[in-house]
Amino acid sequence: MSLLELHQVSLRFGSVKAVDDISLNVQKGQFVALLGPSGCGKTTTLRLIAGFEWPDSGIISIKNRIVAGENIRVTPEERRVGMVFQEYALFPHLDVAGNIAFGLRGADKRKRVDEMLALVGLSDYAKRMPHELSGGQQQRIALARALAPAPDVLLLDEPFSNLDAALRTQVRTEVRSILKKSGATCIFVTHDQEEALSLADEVAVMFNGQVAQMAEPQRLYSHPVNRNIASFVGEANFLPGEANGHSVSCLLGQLPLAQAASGRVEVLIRPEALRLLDSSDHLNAEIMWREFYGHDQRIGILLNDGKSLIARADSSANYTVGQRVTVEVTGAVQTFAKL
Amino acid sequence: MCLLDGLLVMTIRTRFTGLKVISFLIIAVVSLPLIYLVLRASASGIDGINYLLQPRTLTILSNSILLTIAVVIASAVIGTLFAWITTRTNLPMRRVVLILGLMPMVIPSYIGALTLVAAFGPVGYLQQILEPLGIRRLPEIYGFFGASFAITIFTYPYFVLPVRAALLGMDRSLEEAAQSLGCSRWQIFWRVTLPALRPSIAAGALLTALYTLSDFGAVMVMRYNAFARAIYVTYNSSFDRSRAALLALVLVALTLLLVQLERRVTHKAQTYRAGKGTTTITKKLRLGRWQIPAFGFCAVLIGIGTLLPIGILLGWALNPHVISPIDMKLGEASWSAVTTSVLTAVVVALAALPLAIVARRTTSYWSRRLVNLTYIGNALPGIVIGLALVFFGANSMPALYQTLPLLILGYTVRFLPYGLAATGSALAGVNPAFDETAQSLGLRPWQRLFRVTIPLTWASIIAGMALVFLNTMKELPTTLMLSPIGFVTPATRIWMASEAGMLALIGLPGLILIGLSCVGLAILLWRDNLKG
Repeated sequence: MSLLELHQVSLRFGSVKAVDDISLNVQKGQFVALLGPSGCGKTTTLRLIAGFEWPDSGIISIKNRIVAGENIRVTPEERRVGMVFQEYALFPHLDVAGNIAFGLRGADKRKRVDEMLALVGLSDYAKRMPHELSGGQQQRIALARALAPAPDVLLLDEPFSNLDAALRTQVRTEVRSILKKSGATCIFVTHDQEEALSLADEVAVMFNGQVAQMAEPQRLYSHPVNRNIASFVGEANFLPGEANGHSVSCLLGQLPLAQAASGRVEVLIRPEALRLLDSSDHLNAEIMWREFYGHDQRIGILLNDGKSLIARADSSANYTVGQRVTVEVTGAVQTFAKL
Repeated sequence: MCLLDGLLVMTIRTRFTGLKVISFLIIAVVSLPLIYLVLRASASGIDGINYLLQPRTLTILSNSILLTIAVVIASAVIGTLFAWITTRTNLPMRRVVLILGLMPMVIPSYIGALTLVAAFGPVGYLQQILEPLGIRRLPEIYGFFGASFAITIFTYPYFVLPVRAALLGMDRSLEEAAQSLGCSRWQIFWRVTLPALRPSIAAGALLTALYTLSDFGAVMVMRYNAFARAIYVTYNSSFDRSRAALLALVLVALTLLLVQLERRVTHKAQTYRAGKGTTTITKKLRLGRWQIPAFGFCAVLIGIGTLLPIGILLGWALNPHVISPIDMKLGEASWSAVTTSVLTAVVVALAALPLAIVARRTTSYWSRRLVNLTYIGNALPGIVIGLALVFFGANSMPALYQTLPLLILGYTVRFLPYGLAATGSALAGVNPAFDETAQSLGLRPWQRLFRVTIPLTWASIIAGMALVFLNTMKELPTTLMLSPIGFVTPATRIWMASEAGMLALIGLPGLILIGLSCVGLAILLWRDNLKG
């Protein structure tokens, strides 16, 4: 049974189709990322689920209750949907405890606030004011505030975009463990593919108001359904080729195919599938530049016929700019029909 | 070590020494009359203390405080509601309603109060309309009710502007967060919106309180014995003028207390902001069945505060029977007011320049403190400044008493803060890096002044001068107390005409002054646009 369901939901702003016939299913306890470039409709989708926007058509249901549909309008305050805003939106006039207690009713408020503070690891900060907290702490309080009333779904809008890069990885790990501990069903919006792939159980990639593909991160990376997704999710090289059944011939020779294809195609080659060999014969490329990252390195190569590609190699390999190498492809490749 | 440091700093800053001396002289000239007032008042010793402890003085004090409290509360409620309706709802014709609703700000309180009396007073227009219905008496307009009613009508815009700015700048996600946490519309307003508006409302409250304490026109017209009126009446009627000075001193103390409070609040308001909050609220609340009450509220407000005064003035101005010999003096009065106002604007701009430079460009604590002191003049009621200069002129410089120079000095003391604010903010807008860039490109100091600083600041300085000009044109109490015999401005013409009961003569000068204030408001908005 899915906890959250969007069925053919559409919303226009003027002449722009912000959300165009989207259908989504999210299971209880799942952690789903909406990934896409800015303006693709991912934030609007989130706001539709929260109830801040109303769909022109389609049905949204939470826990089998229709919250938005024809003649049905459940307001945000009646949806039991928690939201963590991009800028956190902590109430500046309330202290941390006041913020967390904001959505709570009844007598055991105090107890629930303490639970939440413990969950996010900020028990000593109850009396602090929001402006006295660091960005990471503000975010954890925003998380605690949204989780306190035990919402059915938790929505997070670009949750890590306000943190600087150094802090981001650490906070990401913390947030995931907090959310997994709370058992909440979460949907978060991001434009950062690394964030989506590393955090989510499932990623929905959005382009132009539509969900282009929804899959587990690994599958999304290894089996993108089209060229756009392939280049948006991870880095990609494309080479023209001629497929015949289980192999394809292209600039880098005859390569095995992961799925059978035929005719003129584009061959997707991930940078880490390229191997640069320092052999003496059949030198078909030259190294143009090199970026060293520590755990690995990115290398720009120029094939003899003028096509440039990007390769990744582990950090131990030693290359110099201007060096000539032999380029090979490991493993089976995927192709897309040429448009 | 400390001495050495001081010497070093002195040497670096020697080029400011000349300016500092000039600034000090200006500050001395500006503050001398006030110091003189204090000395004069305290010279009355035990007598003075006895006078201050009389029931009459305490009544004046409680009258002023009561009036201030009533006006602040009423203006806050009306102003906040009006700002909210015109910013957040889908009220039809919002922009027109907003502009008309801000208009009372440009109506000088003495003119506004006179028209309110004409409308709602005894034998007023409203009573004439109601007479056939058998209503013989309207509630008394004079006194507490009339004064607080008039001042409220003409001060609620002081709340509308800051509250509207706060509403427009508010982070949309704050209210959405509250909504997703289960709050209804009403709860959101009380638990999130109103607390976010608190600093703006506090700022508006203090501004309104200062205005109410210093207001002269409305309390005179409404015959309410608050400080401004009591001081004027005492000054005019008794031989012992030090009593007026004593009352003025209490008013100054009250004012300084409020100024101090204001600093606290604005300081607090600055630390209030937490996140950057980029998303602003664009969605309008659908009024639905509330549309008619909301529109009615705005209509009544605009009707009383804007349409009624302007309509009555128009009616008076167009009255065919007004062309009397006295009115021929209006042209003359306008001309003398224009010349003195231009002179004042120039004097203020010249005085403000060295002060602003010293305040902006040196780091010396005392220089800044001294310059800040002149800002207090902004809060001092015109009646107090007028009184101080009367004492100062009559006793220390009899040659200057009742001359144009003393009047212009009075205006300068009163309006120097405007000039200082304009020049100061203009200088603040000049990034020091511009000056340094010019320096590194080989420009000499005077070249930098003419090619960098002046091109970047002239618009703002001119705008400040225009504001001083317009406020001088409108100024009533200072003019009443300091003008040479026979010197008349449109403001004093209105005053004389109203005292003589010749209301019809008020029409034209009243409209002229309102027109001038509109120009002033336009300049203020223009300057803000330049800044933003």
